[in-house]
Amino acid sequence: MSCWAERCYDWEEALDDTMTLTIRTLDRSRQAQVTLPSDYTVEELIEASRHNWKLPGDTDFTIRLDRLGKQLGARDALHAAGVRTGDILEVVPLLEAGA
Amino acid sequence: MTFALPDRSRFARHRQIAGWDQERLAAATVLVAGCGALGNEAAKNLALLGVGRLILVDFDRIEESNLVRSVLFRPGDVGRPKAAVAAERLADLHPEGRFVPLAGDLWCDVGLGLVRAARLAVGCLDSVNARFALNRLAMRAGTPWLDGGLGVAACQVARYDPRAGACYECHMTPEMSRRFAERFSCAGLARQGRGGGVPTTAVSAALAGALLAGEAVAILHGQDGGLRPGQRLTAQLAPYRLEVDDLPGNPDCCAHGVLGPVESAGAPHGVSARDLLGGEEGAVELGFELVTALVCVRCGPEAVLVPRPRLRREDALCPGCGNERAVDWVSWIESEMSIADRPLHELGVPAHHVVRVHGTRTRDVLLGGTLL
Repeated sequence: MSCWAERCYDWEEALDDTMTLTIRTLDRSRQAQVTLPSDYTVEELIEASRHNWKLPGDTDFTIRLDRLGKQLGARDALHAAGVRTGDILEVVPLLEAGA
Repeated sequence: MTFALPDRSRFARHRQIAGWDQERLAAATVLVAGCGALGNEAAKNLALLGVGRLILVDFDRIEESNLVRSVLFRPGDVGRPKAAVAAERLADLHPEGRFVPLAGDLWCDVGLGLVRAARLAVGCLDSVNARFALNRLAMRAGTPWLDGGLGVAACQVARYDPRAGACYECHMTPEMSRRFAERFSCAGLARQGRGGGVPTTAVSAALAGALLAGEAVAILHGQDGGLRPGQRLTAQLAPYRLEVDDLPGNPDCCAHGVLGPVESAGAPHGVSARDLLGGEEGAVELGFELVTALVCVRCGPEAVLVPRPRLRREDALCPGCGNERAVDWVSWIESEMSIADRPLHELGVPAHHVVRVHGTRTRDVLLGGTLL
């Protein structure tokens, strides 16, 4: 299994303080199942998604927790944000245009 | 037996809707910030719905690329101010309505009292910086606001309320904060935007404009049922999805704190800081930074009186040697300053602004104007 995020864990090495998640874009064009340390931050996850999926650099993104229908705080660690193993996280663009 | 004649009046179909209050809409003031593609759609819907007064804010002029997404603009309007043209066309749609154009910047041209007079503000903006500015105004004024944003095949609408839930600034990401800061030089002067625009179409503008107007009607009616404060709706066309998310609050957010009772005074054209102090020693807090001098280390100072948000980085370049000049500024006008005798208008204070007067007692004073 290739390392999706910088601090990604392989299944075999999974520790108690890891969680396995599905992460996908809102339009579901990209999806990955990853095991991450539970202190991994939302901001790190956004950056890993941006890097792995070559998301546009001029767009801001947030992460929504599908189970609870809430946007996660960028500085929060996954466990502190209420994320648990099996959750689906979606990368949501912040749409800025209006003019 | 008598039969009532069918109601064929302008708002007859609205009156058939349970809970609809056309008079309430007619009595409402809504501030629409941004009169581009999304502002066109939102304002058009609000006018058709019979909202009595719209304050239309936009500093920009119409470009040809606006025409394919802006229902109120025509080819002959290119080069004209967006707010003024929108006001003209909206008056055609709703002759009983009042449409007040304000060709200005949210950072320095929109008086806090103008936002306070609105029952609701609708943000149809195109940058983090403009949304930050409207959020600060609305949160201080105690006015709920809606924020719309467009993508190619998606749109978002968020609802913020000064009295409940997360505000825009609460959930700004570090990346948004970085881009916000990028728009200012070290001296705090605005840099040119990225330019080029973002790809959007009339489709997503129409969708977002409809969602904004629907939310606005619910809020103006005092109804629940749409978004709660601190929630954002994302609507996506391909594939179809509609998601409502709670936005994360921030207990340390600096934007919260609603203005209390205010006293009234004359318009900034006819009132000075000294007038507001009534002969007492003290100071008048402007609520923005007023640049009083641009200082070149080689060529010396140049006296100016310009609100900092109105200055661009290019304005600070010394005409003599080309160096970037330092900025001297004040945000309080103290009674001993010579500018305390100048009409507040000359200091960049907009009509309907609220200033804080620190005399023997501290009080907030709402200045007058002709826009309301």
